[in-house]
Amino acid sequence: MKDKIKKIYNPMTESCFYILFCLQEEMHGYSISTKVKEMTNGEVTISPGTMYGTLSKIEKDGLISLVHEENKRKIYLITELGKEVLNTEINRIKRVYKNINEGGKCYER
Amino acid sequence: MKDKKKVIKFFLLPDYEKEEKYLSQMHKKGWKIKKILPYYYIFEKCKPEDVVYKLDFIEEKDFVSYIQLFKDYGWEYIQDLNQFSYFRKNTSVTEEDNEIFSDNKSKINMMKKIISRRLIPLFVLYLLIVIPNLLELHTVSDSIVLKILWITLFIIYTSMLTHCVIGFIKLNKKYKEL
Repeated sequence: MKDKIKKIYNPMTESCFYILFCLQEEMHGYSISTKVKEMTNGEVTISPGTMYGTLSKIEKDGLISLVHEENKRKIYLITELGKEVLNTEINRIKRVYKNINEGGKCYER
Repeated sequence: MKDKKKVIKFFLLPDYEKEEKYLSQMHKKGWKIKKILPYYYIFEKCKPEDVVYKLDFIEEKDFVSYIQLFKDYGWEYIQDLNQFSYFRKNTSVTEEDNEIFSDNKSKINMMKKIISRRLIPLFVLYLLIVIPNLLELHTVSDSIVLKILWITLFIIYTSMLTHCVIGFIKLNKKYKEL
């Protein structure tokens, strides 16, 4: 079961990555969206439908868990399984990044 | 002067984007949606404005936090109908603020959910009830009126299903090309 989930999220969508990355701290949907905008200078937007869908899905798969509810907003935090999945994804991205910097001819720096 | 308008409109399962556009056009003409019933729309007079309308399809949701999340982004919740949630928002100059889905995958997921939860049950009903009944029509009843009624229903059901299948094929193609 765990291995299956790890496979599904390798690789994951960009929205999913940023949501999981932000949830290393306790946050709710809209605050994640604001933080992602800040981190990426407004280049990455996560709209509410995508946010709700992704949060529900990764909660169901056990990557995050509900911590508590505050003013009608659900506050989530990453789980141990979520951390494992996130680390795998980070390593994958680092590998891609390393290869781009070392070799690619068509990539102009 | 009438300040209410009632319209019958047949938007079927794959027509949610057309419905969004229709509601938006009506608002621009000064008719704001007040209540949506199946295939029946009640508008009230308003100031003509540029407003985006969006439909989301989610079967299981925690209602309060779901609506709050959209509210945080500036979306006004209108109502639910058949598991579709209706939202609206003043059109923003920033293109992405007028969307409820920021990636294509979310759009495809929504479409898949509508197909599996709504279209497939209709299809099963069609194969198990509508078609067998039609095949047995000549043996069961002598009444010509009943026969005509059944055949009419059969034609309506078949054309609705065909419309849905074609609509979803078109949507799927559109999302894949984006």
